[in-house]
Order: sequence, then structure tokens, then C-alpha cells
Amino acid sequence: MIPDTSFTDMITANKAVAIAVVRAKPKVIAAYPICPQTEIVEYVAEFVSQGDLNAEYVRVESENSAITIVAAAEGTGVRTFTATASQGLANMHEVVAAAGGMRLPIVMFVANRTLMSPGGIWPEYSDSMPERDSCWMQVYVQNNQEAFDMIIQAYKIAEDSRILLPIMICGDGYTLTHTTDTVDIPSEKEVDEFLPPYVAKHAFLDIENPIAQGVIVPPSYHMEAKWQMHQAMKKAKEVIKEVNDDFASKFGRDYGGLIRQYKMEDAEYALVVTGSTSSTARVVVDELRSKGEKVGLVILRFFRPFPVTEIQEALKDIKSAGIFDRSISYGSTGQCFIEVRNALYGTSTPLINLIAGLGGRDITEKDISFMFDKIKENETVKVKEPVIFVNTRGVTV
Amino acid sequence: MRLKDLPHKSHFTEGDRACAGCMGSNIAINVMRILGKRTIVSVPPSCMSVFGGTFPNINWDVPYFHMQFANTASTITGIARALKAQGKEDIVVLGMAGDGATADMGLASLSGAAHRDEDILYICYNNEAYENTGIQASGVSPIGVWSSTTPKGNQYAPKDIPRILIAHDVTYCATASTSHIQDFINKVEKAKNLRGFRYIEVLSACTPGWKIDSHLGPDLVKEAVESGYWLLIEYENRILKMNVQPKFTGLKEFLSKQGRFKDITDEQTENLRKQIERKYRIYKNMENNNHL
Repeated sequence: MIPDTSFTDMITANKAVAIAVVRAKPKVIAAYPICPQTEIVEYVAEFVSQGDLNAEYVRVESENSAITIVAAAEGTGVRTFTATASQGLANMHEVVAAAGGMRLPIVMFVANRTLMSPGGIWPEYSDSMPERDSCWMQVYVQNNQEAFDMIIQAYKIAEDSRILLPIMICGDGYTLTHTTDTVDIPSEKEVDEFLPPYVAKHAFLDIENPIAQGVIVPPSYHMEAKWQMHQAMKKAKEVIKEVNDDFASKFGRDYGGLIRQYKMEDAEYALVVTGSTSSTARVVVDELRSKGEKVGLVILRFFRPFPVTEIQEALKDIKSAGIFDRSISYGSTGQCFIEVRNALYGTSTPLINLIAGLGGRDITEKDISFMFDKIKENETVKVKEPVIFVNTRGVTV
Repeated sequence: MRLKDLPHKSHFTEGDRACAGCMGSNIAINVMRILGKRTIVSVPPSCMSVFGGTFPNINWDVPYFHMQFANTASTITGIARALKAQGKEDIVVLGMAGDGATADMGLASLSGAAHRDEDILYICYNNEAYENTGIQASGVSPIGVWSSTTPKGNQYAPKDIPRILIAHDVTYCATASTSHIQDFINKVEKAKNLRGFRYIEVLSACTPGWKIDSHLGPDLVKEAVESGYWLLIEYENRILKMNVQPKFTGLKEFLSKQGRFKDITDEQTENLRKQIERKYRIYKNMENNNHL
């Protein structure tokens, strides 16, 4: 049994997420196994069967059905949960897009894994990045504690009546999902106070008040619906910050909201980084700082909504910046680079795109040092090709 | 419920935008006369999602959830599980899908829901092709039929979805035709009151798809039953029953009234006849061996 009191344990991100689900108390959970997420649905099955969590646990036949069941249940007015990765998320895609437009506040954990081809089970963001246009919020977590904390925060953000959008919490496969780390679990009571039971107030299926959801909308009405989706996503920035601050005041952990900065106060060179790579990058920043180099990190947490003004503010005094991407839009650049360059349109800050860790290749301290070397070099030598594949055979940089 | 007691008022309201003579619309009206107000419905992309579910004109006078093509059974599963979690009982969760969504793309989710014996009612209105996209053969189109993707006649035998579901040992599975209206009412009413996975497949004439005059649908589905083309069966408590004994006459006349069979060859007609008779024998064997 999961104690209802607060406790600390050495656990994987998968277990942290499963325990967060117990604390968040969804009523319908749909489960389908896929590496590296599988342990989550295993743990949740165990927690439901031993009475830690009172929920309908539906063991489905595909990811398409998993997301469908949580979407339909959410549309019936209950809190839900599911998890997936890679091909599983691709299999879900059409319903993922439908859920965004239907304004269903689903919370889903994505254990980031490469999307074939080439095949592989190791971390990359090529699974979640294609969903950036599906009207889901996306947050990339750095460690197991943040994975736990963001599941709890995610429900509060998604279910806010100003937003009502689904959210995916993205965590690096294996690096987080299968690696143990210290995680503080707050008590059931503390989480209940922060995240009360969900009471659907907006459109949901109720025989006393019949409504239609997900209907065909002709051109004469279509643009207004899409405009509202856009407005909700923009509004989410404010709610994310509010929930972050509320969480920080209650639980003592402040993630900075949309982005988090590390040693940026007087930094001259910055690396924009996402996910667990942020942890390795912090070690490298400390080392370089000890040698007198003024370097810092901008940890990009939320990719949707994208923190345009926060990025502009964080990078305004920087001499040169690099943007790390763990996926690429082939023939163009990495997706984070596209967004950051877009945010900095009109400024003269030199920017390069550092592609690393594809298909799960290790991103070492040496790789991060190399990234900072390139960022510094780019201040004076403006490269023609902004995309650099780090630690890649046959690529000369 | 007797036919004379069937209420005129339906929770699929008047004024849908179906073609003249559409039996899909007719089936929806009659199903909702029987199921009534305590129903939540989901319809996948289909003619029905267009003629009865285009904003702002929604004909469903009950909560309505439009989802995707492959996942009707999972959609209504999600609704049913959420209602259970909320302690809301005695609400029929209905999926109303065409044959393409049911027999082809949606078969995996249908199988999953049947396997778990989800508390749902799934009604397939089977017009034997993807009619909404302009008449393309589906997995349940008859042998020899013309469609825009089978210009020389369909070479494959239709999948037998009820038999697939019977292999899942489902709570309730039946076929129906509105020509045999009392049988239809009995089956929908029975399915309404049962709990667990319930499936009814109704033959639905499509005027443009079958290339028939708009008044012909009701006659044709009756002839389909009498000729053995469409079997009326019912599977409940692991017992199979054949509700109407076909006469096995009039198949050629049935085919000749439909433009979709205009170019059927003698060989294709013979293959169709053999397939129908084989299907009948399979069900008859099941009925005869219910004691096993």
C-alpha cells in the first residue's frame, strides 16, 4: 500500500508518476503497454488492485483506444489518466488532435522515445514534438521529482476553467523512467488541498442537459472555434505561472513556471536546454564558471504554450546562444531552435542549433562543453549552417 | 413492446438531412423511439454523422459524442466507465456506426470492448459499403457487387461480424431488419435492458449506394431476409437462435432490382448464392449444437 502520509523514496520516474496518479485520484485510467512507459501502467494496475486508488482501470487493445477512452471519459466529466511513448503516441495521433479541439483536460505522461525509422527504444523527442500542433500543452521534465510534481500541477492547470486543454508531461525514456532518484511524496491530505476532486462545470455528457461534442463544424463556424483554442493556449501561460507559484508556496519546490534559468544573472553565453540533459548541463556550467567563464542555462520546460516573452527576456543581454534539440525537422532545424529563433526575430543575437542525443545516444559533459565552445565561437564566426550534429560520425564541425 | 405501443416521438428528431429513402435515418429514428431519453450516443464519421450531426443542426435529442472512425467501441466504453465511476446507472451508452467503421477500421476496438464485456450497446447500420465517401466496397460488401473501387464486382466474401463477436462469447449479439419490425423492436428492447456487451447489426438500404429508387428500401430488406441473403439471428446466454427461416427463393429478383448488381456475372451470382447458403448452414449448425 502507498502510505497516505508524506514520505521519501528512491524511485524511478515511472514509479513517481504512478504514485502521483494515486495522489491525483483520476476516475478512469486506460492502459496499454509500450516501452519505456510500461511500468507506469503496471504500477497503476497494482495500486488499483490493492485499493490505493479507486478508479476504473481499462486494459485496452491499442493506444488509439487508450486515448479514446480517456477522451470520452473526460467528456463525460471525470478526471482521467493514461501514459504512452513513441509509436504509441503516433498511434494515438488522430484522437490526440481531437481531444485538443474538444477541450478535454486529459493528463498524459509521455516517456520520450525515438519514433522510427530507424527503430529504437531510447530517448528522443521525435514522438512528442509532432504533437506540438495538436492543441495540447507540453512540459518537459528534468528529473523524477519534477515528473511527480508536474503530474499534480498538470491536473490543476488543465482543468482550470480558463484553459480546459489537455497536457502531456514529457520525460526522457530510461534516463528518467528507469533510473532511481530521491523523490519526496507529499501526503494525500496535502495534495487533496492543492488539487481538490474534479467537478466538470463546462460541457460534458449529461442526460439531463444534452449537448453535442466533437461535431462536424462547417466553414461558417469553424474559425471561431480554432481562435478560441488559440486563445486558451495563450491564456495557459498565466495559469501555468499561477499554479507553479501556488505549488512552490505549498510544497517548497519552485520550477520557475514556463522556463527555469540557471546562472543567467551575468551570463554572456547561454544554452537553451530541455529535459534530463539540463542536469548534465548544470554540472558543466558549474565547471566552466569555476574557470571564470560567464555561461548559463535557460531550461525550456513548457514547449506549448511557448514562452516567447520569457525567452526574449532571458536572452536579451546574451552575446551568443545555442539551442539544444533532441529531435529535428529534417531539412530544417530542431523544433526548439525554430521556436527560439522565432521568438528572437529582429534581434542580432547569434544562434546555433545543437542536435544531440538522437535515438538515445548519451549526452556527456564533454558534449555540453563542446556546445558551449561552439556557442562562443559563433559570436564572431557567424556560421552559415546553424545546425550542428554533436558527436556524430562523419560530421565535421 | 408491441409495434402499436412504439411511441411516435423519437430522440433522433425529425428533419435530418439524409437522402430520400435512407434506411440509416429510419433505423436511428426507430432505435431512439425504443431507447428513449436515458441514452448517450456516439457516432463515428459516416453518413449519419453528417446528416444528423453537423453543427448547429444536431438531430440527437440526447447527449451526443462524435469521435473518430476506428474507435466507436472504445468511445462508448470511455463514456460507460465514466458513468459507472460517477455512480450513474441505467443509462444506455449507444454506439451507432456504419459497416466500414465497424467491420474494417474499428474491428480491433470492437473486439477489445467485446472481450472485456463492456456495458455498451453497439448498433451497426450495415449498408454494405462506404457510402458516405461515395460508394466504395467495405469488408462486408457482398460478392459481385459494383462499387467505385470494385468496378468489375467485389471478389471477396463479406466478413461475418456477428460470428466474430459470437466467438468472443458476448452477452448479446443479433442481426435485424426493419422489415421484420416486431423482431427488430424485441431485439433493441432486449439489448436496452441487458447489461454487458450488446451488438445488433441492421441491414440498411442506401438509395444511391444500392442504385435503387427511394421507395424500394423497405421492400428490399424484406426480400433480403426471405431470400436468405440477410439472416435474422440472435445470440444470448451462449445460445444461438435463428429467428426467421429463409425461403431461399427470389435471390435473383432481389439482385435484379438493384443497380449495384447490374453487371454481376453468372459466376459471381453463383458464388454469392453458395456463400449465403454456406453461411446459413454454419448458423444452422450452431443452432443445432447449442447443447454442446
